[in-house]
Amino acid sequence: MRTYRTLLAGSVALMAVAACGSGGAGGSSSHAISGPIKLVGLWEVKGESPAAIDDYQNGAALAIEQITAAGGIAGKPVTLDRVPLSPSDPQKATSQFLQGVDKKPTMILGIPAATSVLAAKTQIDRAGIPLLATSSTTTPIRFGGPGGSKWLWLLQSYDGYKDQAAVKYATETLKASKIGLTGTSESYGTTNIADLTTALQAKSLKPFAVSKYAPNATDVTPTVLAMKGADAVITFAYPVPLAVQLRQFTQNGLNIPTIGSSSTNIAVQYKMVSGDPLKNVYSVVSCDPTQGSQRQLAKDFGTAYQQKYGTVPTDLAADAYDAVWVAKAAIEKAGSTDPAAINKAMAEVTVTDKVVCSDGYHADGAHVLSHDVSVDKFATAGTTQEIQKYTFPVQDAVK
Amino acid sequence: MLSIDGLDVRYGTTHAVRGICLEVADGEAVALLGPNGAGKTSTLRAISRLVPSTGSVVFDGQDLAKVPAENVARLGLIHVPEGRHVFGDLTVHENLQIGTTARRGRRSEFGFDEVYDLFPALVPLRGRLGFALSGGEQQMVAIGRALVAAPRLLLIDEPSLGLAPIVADAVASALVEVRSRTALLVIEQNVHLAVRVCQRAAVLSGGVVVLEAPAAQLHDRGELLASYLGQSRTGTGA
Amino acid sequence: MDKFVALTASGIAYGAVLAVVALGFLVLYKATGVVNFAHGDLVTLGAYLAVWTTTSLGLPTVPGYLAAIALMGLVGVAIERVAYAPLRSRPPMVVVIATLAAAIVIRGIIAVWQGSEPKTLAGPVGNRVVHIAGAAIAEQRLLITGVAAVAVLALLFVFQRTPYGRQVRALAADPEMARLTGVRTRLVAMGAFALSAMLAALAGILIAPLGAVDLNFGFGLMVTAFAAAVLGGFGSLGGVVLGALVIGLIQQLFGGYVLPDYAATFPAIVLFLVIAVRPEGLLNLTRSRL
Repeated sequence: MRTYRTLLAGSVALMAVAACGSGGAGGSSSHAISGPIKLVGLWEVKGESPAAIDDYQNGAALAIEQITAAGGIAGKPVTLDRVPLSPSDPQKATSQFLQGVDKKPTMILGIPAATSVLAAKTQIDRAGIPLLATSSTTTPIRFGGPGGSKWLWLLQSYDGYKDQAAVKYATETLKASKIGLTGTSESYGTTNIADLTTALQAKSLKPFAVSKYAPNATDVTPTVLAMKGADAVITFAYPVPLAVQLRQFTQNGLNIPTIGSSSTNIAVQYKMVSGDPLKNVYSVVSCDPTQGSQRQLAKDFGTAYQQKYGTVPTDLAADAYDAVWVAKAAIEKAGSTDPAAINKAMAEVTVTDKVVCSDGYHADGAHVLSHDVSVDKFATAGTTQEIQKYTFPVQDAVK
Repeated sequence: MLSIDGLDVRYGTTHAVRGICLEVADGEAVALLGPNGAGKTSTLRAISRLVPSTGSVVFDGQDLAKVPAENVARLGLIHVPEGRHVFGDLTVHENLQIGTTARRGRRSEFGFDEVYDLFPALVPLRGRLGFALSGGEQQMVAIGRALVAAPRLLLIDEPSLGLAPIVADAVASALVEVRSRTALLVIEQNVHLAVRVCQRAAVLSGGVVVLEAPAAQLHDRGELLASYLGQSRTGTGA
Repeated sequence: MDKFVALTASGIAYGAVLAVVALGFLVLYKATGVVNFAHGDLVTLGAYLAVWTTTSLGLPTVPGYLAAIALMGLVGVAIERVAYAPLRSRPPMVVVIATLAAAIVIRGIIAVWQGSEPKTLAGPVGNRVVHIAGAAIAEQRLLITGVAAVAVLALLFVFQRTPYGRQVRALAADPEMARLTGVRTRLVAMGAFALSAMLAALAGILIAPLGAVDLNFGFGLMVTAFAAAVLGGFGSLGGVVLGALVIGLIQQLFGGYVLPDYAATFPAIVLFLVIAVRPEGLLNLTRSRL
């Protein structure tokens, strides 16, 4: 799901945002926690744009509800406000971010697309309010990168870690050496195929074959035929052509283990592919918040979410849920609503309480909080089982 | 049948037709003569509602002011425009078939067979595409296409323009045949042909009717006519 | 050999759908002179309507499809009334821009109505496969080819043999003369909008079961079909069908054997080449209407 939303935002050319000196919060006096704590979520709910979904707001609202029931943050009541921010419209991100700032929040959460984060960089520097982004963690927005900021923290694990996890699982667990790479012929597919190739080279392997197809392909016969003879296939594609690929493998009598991205989970969730084509299908995801997860906390979250909203949560809902819990931990560690103190606490705090998508969130030098990647295996019924978890190394700030 | 009163046509600043009045009676054949730019074609296009105009055009008791061009045709007022406008990508026969669109249940004097009888030259060309026809053949198709629409009044613009004399003569003979069954309003530069087909003639110059007379008298007024038409010879059989 | 057969079969099926899209495009162009850039979104809408009739209304597959196609006829008429009729006397560029606006409106309406999540459309033959010369070919592809062939032949019949077809061709060749022969241009235009929208729906319904339907589903198809129409001379129906099959086969065979990474760009390359070699097809749209 996360991937798909991010993809919607994809390939939007952004002008380089000139870096302005970070102005800081400017004279806010440090005080102990007093009065209600306000969090602002920068995300949409259904109806606000064609691509809008309720997942973020639902996940965050559930966390607020649980926190309130347990006595609030540092004993103070907490409120969740919201400004719609579209994942597919980075041009508007700056003004939407400023609307969030105008609400004078203690912390800001959300922004679903990395391109939007990049677009709002100057204002993030100026606002001087800690922002915990739920977008994917692309290279430019890490601390030290052109879109990074001392106020910007990134919840999700590094993008490239999914590629490494896929190669690791294919070579170490599936014992494959002839690994074919497929994907969509735009930035998502091509950058991941390049990263996968690098990851294979690190293990002294070359791709068995590489084949790309259009994001709107309804027929990937050439790709399927090119993969004949491989003993594993890794695919980073949009959900629709990915579903076509999985089906056409089966139609051509091929049963090669296929490791996909979270697009696979989307394709299965929306019933684009089911039954036999799901035999031998895996996906690398940052988080599996379903009952198939190995983490008890994830199962608990899934149960509570299902009860409240009547659907199985997506990883997006889990991200927003986790972001609220991380914010709580940071504010309590700071013992203050002073932005600078909270920002300092963000660098130091380790969050294990309640969170779903990581065994422990802790910021590294690049301001990235998660280093975990999970491998899901699909059943033909469409359910997932988390069969492997990898924790990758922390990194330093981008030089 | 057709009654035009105070017809004005303007194109931007050009005042092409200046308040002309003209009548065509049942079964009558009228020629509209005049030099280039006299307003003949504009008059016909105004009658068919292809160009906006002021003044009244009444056909068979009905004011055409608000009637769209396709419905004017469906009333039986059929216009054969200058340049024939045969549909190039339709065959000869298909061109005739489309002519029946405007028939609307009127009993037609001319079916396809009658048209082929009138223009035997078209018989071997039934399946040929419009753009592959000669000028004369196109004129025959254009007239035939109008005839199968069961016209009550035919407007024909320059039927002999650009045709070899022998072909023009064949067209004129056909029009004489047509005249006995339907009313005609014909624009013609060739006064000889006009006189042969029509009983009456109106001469336009500068957007006004300058002369109206029975066709037979045109012979007698050759000199006057020549001055209006701007021709040294009128072709009236000098 | 089996690779060649598989690629050829998928190329023909893809070309057949392209032909249906391109013909829908062309029918409207011939009858009205409008290049309708909302055609791709009509393909999308047709597929969504089929999803709606078969899931929300619970109709069986084929009656649900037919109901969706019939509804699209009404949608076509509605577009004619709302987006085209008021602009009838405006310059063509204005009308083309209006079709772009219509495309955005259609997409917005679908998004509000069906949400942005991809939908799946059940096919009448499921995931079954037949084996021809050692190649596995999905039955849906054979179905696509068969239904598209029937639709194309029916359309050719309508155009060549019926009064309506003659009227459309007459209108395409010479709109003013067509009116002088009593052709009711507004009715013909309305009919063409309806027919065009129904062909768009048919194409969407044929290809949707192979993948999934989302908001951008029809747009890419339209662009490729446009290339096919230009390749076919943007005029004769037969030429367009041929152009569509050539594009479909080039994309699959060239993509399968020569330059797999660039398969998706072939239609655009063909489009450029055709425009470069014989630009009269595009630069002089009004005169090459037939």
